[in-house]
Amino acid sequence: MLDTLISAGIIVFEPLGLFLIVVGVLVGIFVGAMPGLGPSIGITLLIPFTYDLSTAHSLLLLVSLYMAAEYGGSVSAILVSTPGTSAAAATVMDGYPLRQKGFPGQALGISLSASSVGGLVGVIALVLFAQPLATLALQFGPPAYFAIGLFGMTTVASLSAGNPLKGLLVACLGLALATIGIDPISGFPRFAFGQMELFEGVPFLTTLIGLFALSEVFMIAERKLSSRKFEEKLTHIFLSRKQWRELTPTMISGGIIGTILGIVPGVGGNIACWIAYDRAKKRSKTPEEFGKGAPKGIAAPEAANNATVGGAMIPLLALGIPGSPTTAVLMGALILHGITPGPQLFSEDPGMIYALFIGLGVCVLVMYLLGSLTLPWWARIMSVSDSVLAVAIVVLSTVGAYTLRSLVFDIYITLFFGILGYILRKFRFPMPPIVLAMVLGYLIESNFRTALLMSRGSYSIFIESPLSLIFIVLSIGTFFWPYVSRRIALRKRSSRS
Amino acid sequence: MNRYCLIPRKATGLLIALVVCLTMVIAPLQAHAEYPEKTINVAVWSGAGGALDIYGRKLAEMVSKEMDWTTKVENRPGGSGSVGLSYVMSQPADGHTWLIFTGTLATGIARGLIPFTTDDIRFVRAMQAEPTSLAVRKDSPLKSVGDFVEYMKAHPFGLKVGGHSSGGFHQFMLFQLMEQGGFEAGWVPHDSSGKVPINIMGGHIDAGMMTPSSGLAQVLSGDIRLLGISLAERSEFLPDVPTFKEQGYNLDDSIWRGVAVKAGTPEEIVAKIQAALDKVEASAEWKEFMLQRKQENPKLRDGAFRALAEKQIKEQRNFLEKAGFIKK
Repeated sequence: MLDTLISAGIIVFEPLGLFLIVVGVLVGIFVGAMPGLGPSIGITLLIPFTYDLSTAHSLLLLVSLYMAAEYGGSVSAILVSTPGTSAAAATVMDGYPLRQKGFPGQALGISLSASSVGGLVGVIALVLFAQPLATLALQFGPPAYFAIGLFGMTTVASLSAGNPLKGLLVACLGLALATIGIDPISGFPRFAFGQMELFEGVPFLTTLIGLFALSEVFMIAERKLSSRKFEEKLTHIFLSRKQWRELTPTMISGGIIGTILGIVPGVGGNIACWIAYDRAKKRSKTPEEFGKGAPKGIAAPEAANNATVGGAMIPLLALGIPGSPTTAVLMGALILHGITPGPQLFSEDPGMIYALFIGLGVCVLVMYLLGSLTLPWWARIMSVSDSVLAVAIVVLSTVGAYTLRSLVFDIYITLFFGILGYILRKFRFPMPPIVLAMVLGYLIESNFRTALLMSRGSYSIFIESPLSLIFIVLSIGTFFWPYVSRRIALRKRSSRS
Repeated sequence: MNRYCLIPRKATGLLIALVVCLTMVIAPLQAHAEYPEKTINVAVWSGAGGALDIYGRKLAEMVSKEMDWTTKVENRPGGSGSVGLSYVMSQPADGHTWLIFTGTLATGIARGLIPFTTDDIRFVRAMQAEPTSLAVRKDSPLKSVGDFVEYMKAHPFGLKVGGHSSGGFHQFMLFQLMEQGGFEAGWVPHDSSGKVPINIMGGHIDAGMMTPSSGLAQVLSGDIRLLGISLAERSEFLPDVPTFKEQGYNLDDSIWRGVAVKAGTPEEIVAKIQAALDKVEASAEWKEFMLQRKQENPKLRDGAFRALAEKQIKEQRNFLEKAGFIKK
């Protein structure tokens, strides 16, 4: 045991191991920041370079990339309002406003710190509780997935920026968009109008880029051009002790949410970032600051999406089943190296597993260090005038939309959603509910119908499964809590007078 | 003043002359160049990750190693394979774009989701095949396909049975078992093959139809028991798993993975591709890979491969009509 631990340590800390982690982190930040590339494409790009490396070394390179890409997604989300990965969508909400206020370094610093803390939370969960948590993942059947989706929908109200009715309207739009594509139960295309590009549904990241990034270009185009100077000094980039004290609880709770949702196959960062954001907002004493550059609004989703890395590795290692698109690619890489992921690895090749665990921990540290070193650089090249910014966003968005599937059709989708997003923003409709409903719509619909197929039409299946019952009760509670708490407050006041 | 002109005019003339000369030297060389003249695009019609992508990547790696050809893997997912197929159709028929595709081609064409026919495709070789299997959790009282059929006969719709996709290969195989065994069962569709073993392990479905590799770790550890496998003879990889056939049910079909090029590709180029694939399949590393992934080698090429695909399309269409997925 100790011997394997030491030899695993040697693999990680010998020059080659550290070099691979550094390369993985640098490439990861880059692919994360480029919309359309992302962690899974990043890994496929690097697979050919790993053929001559040992499996443990290849794993170090690839997981470092995965971890850093989840942070990298926030860089473009903050600087150019373009989420680089779909799990960075929630980071746009407060990251971009904070940048607009003139604190890009500050926003990036919070994101980097939160990503590191969240990443560590996920890794610790992976190292200590992989087996019991994997058993938990098995308990989630279709009714429980449905209930999680429902629970996710309760966050729509708080994501609606003070206008729940408008929030609800756009959420319905998102749900409607989610029905486009091949019907998960009957297997036939719905509302695809014969466009084979739509068979797999409206591509999510493409929509995201349109709604958040392109619509921002139109907003910029309308504004009077200003060549704002960023007054921020570079010393702001490391968080002060006071900020750490304020933000650490948010980061840890975001990390826990991310880990748990990362474990559940098929849920992951896209949903975790919004739920973590919602939690942070609800627990905040100043929820009105959210959406205007609140530090907690950056810390929570960023901690959550990095924590999903450790979380998603749990079913991969403990069950041999990938829980996310990125772990599916990672599993492919392992198989190409002649290794079948699964629980038997813990006894057959413990050295590699230990090297992976140590490597993940080291990679979070390296990510923090390298991230800090590159921060001033990012912040400086991005402190450009609005006219340059607008052009940069257009280029990044269209290239990103195209790279994802190499389809020109996707560029039109981005353009469509850019215009739609602009119109909606003009009428002060909030954006997040559409995005959230699009992710959750499929989860809710397919699992609701699958559950009913399983129970042959009986709705009691949603109450009989304990996990589903818990989440349904939680959803109802969260939905009605604001009304109940207001009632209680009113009654207290009236009884006092 | 023309300040954007970076190269003096005289130099431009020289440059043009040089380029013309070079082209004249190179062009005839190219015409006689050996196949492949450039990078071979290996277009996988599914996304990264997953069994087909792994097969495509390993094949590309091995072709580079064995033949010293440059290969590049591209994922072209979407439209149940249509996106990948139409990409290959948009490229010249010169053998530089390979399509990596699977037996779901039959389902796609039978349902009208893929707007191409087998005439558009030059089938080259099927290199991997995987049967489906009837899988239960280790604590299930069912020990054989017979047990399953008997139970379902006594309790119609009594067990929750499911598998990957709706109206696809696995449901087609269960449908055949239903017809032969004379029972009725529902179908719980799953949107990814990895979720099938998870739902079996978690007890959310009582039995699943799945390729053994989708839950390989559980099958090997015994947490999932396979009651029957859809092969003519027992698999050399899983010798303890009985076939459907030896238990009296005529279920013998596999989901294949293979290579194709655009129809109209010159035969001498196809022959060169075949020779390359021969070399790959003969290598020790490829055999090791097939063993690790528990893949059968269907040994089907050219006309025979095409005939199999056409047979499957016919059978699938028949099933989809009977099961009410498509109208007659």
